[in-house]
Amino acid sequence: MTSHDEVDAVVVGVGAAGAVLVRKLADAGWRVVGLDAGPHWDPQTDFLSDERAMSKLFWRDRRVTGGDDPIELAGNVTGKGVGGSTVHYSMYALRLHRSDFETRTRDGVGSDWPLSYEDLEPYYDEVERELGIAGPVDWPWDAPRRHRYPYRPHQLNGVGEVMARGCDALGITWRPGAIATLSAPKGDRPPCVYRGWCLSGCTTNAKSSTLVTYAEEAVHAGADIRPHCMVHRVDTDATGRAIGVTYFRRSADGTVHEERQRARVVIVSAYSIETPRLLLMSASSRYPDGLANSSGLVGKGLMIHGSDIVFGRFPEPVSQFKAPPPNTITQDFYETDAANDFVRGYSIETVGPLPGKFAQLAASTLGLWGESLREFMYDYSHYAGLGLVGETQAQDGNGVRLSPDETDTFGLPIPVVTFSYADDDRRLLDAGADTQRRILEAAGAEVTFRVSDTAHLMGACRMGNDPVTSVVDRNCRAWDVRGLYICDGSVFVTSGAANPSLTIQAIAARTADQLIAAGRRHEL
Amino acid sequence: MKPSPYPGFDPMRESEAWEDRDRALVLSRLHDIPALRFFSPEEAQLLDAVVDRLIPQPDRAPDDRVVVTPFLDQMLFDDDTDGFRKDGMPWDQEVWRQALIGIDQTSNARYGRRFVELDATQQDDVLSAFQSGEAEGAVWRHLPSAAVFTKVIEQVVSVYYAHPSAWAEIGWPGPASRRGYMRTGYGQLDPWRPREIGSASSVQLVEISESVGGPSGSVGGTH
Repeated sequence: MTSHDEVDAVVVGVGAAGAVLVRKLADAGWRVVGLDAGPHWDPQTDFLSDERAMSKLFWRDRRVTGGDDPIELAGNVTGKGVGGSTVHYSMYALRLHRSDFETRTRDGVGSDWPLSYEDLEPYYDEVERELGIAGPVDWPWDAPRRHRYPYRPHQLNGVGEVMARGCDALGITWRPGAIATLSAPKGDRPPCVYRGWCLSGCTTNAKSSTLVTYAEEAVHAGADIRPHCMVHRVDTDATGRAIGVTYFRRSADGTVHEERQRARVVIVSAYSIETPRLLLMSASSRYPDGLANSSGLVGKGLMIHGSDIVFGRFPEPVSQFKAPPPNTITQDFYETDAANDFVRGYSIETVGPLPGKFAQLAASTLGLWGESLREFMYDYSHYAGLGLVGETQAQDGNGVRLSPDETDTFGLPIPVVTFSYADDDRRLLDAGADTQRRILEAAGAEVTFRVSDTAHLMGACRMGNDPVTSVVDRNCRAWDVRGLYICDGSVFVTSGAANPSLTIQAIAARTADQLIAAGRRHEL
Repeated sequence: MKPSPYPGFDPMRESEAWEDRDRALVLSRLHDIPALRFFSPEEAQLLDAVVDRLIPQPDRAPDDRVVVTPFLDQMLFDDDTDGFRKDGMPWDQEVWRQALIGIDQTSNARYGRRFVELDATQQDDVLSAFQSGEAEGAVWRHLPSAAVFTKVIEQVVSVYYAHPSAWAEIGWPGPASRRGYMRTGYGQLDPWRPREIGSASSVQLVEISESVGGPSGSVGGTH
């Protein structure tokens, strides 16, 4: 087995969080290795404008999904390769609201975070600036902002105009979304040309994935990013301290070799399925229930966003495929409202699926096939869709465990994911769908239909102030294992009702600063 | 069937504006049909007959029809699938083999003949039973036919709507790379977009009340 010399930090997963960590630590002079299970993409040669060809961006290794409401995995919630799912995410770059960090205190549900909005605010600012987020001049909802968005908002597309018209008629506040694609040049990256292929991988580099921002800058700063490296164990020494990782590296000729990377600090940033899977696979005689799992909470409390879409047909062409699908947003329904029969709330955002996805949604939802499906699809250009980002509550029964009897191509136990909505989640989804439909009808929709869907993963290694009820502390340090950090969407305590990527990145930026400061104090 | 509202539109006519690699991919899809490696000839013949009812193409000469089965075969042989399975369901390769056996079982139970020997009305009856979860046959006692039907139709439409002939009939111009779009507003068309003739579809939209597996992850999320 190849053993690499010890470095300062090894980061497992170079996605939304990992790329931020790798670059910030490398900038601070750390020797950093980033390991990613997938390729290191070149958008100008690897990315095609083709829905089927670009399914290669998704994590499609063997997984089982169960529960009363099994999550659709692959393209909805996962990424594989440097940049992770930010390569194909929808680019809504939203902050959580202040209330999201204290739902137990305010609403009696979930748990309070060990962080406040104020703790994260400077890091939201930092990441928005680094990514070049395009957003409205004012943000009329919570979270309060000290600075304007660094780039001007994008022009409205057809779906955005529909949403704006419907909201205006109903007195609902809307704004152009805060979007991680450039509206003006940034460095050598050009502004968006409105191709509308954002969810299949951007070929112009206008999209601020971490692939073309943080990860690229990390390489320039001297970080060693190694693709095709599947980490299967976090190694610990006789004292129980994390000392590195062992991984399978796939060479260009397809052969697989096992390698070891020692590091003073191990950071797991593999997201809400692979992070708990890796910790559980790292069980040893010292840690029989998996690493960092004395609380028993590794792999528990997985959350998603209820992401139902309502589509409406309009008399003129909407052309939902033009320009980035994320275009406008309302957060008027985000906070708890005593008039509702549920607590917490939701955002409503524009969507714009390409024909293959739209046909799949219609076929599965409306049961269409035969000539009626082809005729229905003639109207593809006339549909506008509004998507929900609906908060769900963490439940210990939802989560990730290892399969007792099935393995992947490396011989590793595959993850089994379980998810069921709570009754409150369903009431929230129904209320959201009613609002989505009202907006479309107020805008003049001739017919509407609702698609059930989910998006995003949050939780499964939550942070907290108490080692009994959390896996990591407020700085993402594992309570149980010295030298081990967990930093990605899995540390979320509540889901919020906003796309999670910006918060994941803000937490990563903050964690990097905490690590750098601890290193200076010789406290790692 | 109702004709397309975009008569004469051909996205390939604008393919000079596409990236070379996008054009090469689409052309290979038109001209390099993959050989069968996963399905047996008998299975492929049955699947052809099923696809012919799920996506009928009576408006096209046989040589002009969009070919679907070989691309499903390629997907399954290369294991180019979503990668996950629902608890209680087998992996995709087994789902497709079992589905084809089940369709013939239902066909035999209802009409005493194989699916390929039925007329179109009878075939549609079998597929309706498959879709609604009321299909007869040993396979459907351990596999939920409605969930399997959803998987089948989602993959069939994914292949069909990856073809320029399908893009033509829905007025969609394809890769849009490199030039993107200039006019993005409601009702606005760039000069290379086709004009429409005719009225909206009269297809009734009825949401299936019980979710039978939810939308697939295979071509990505939405927001």
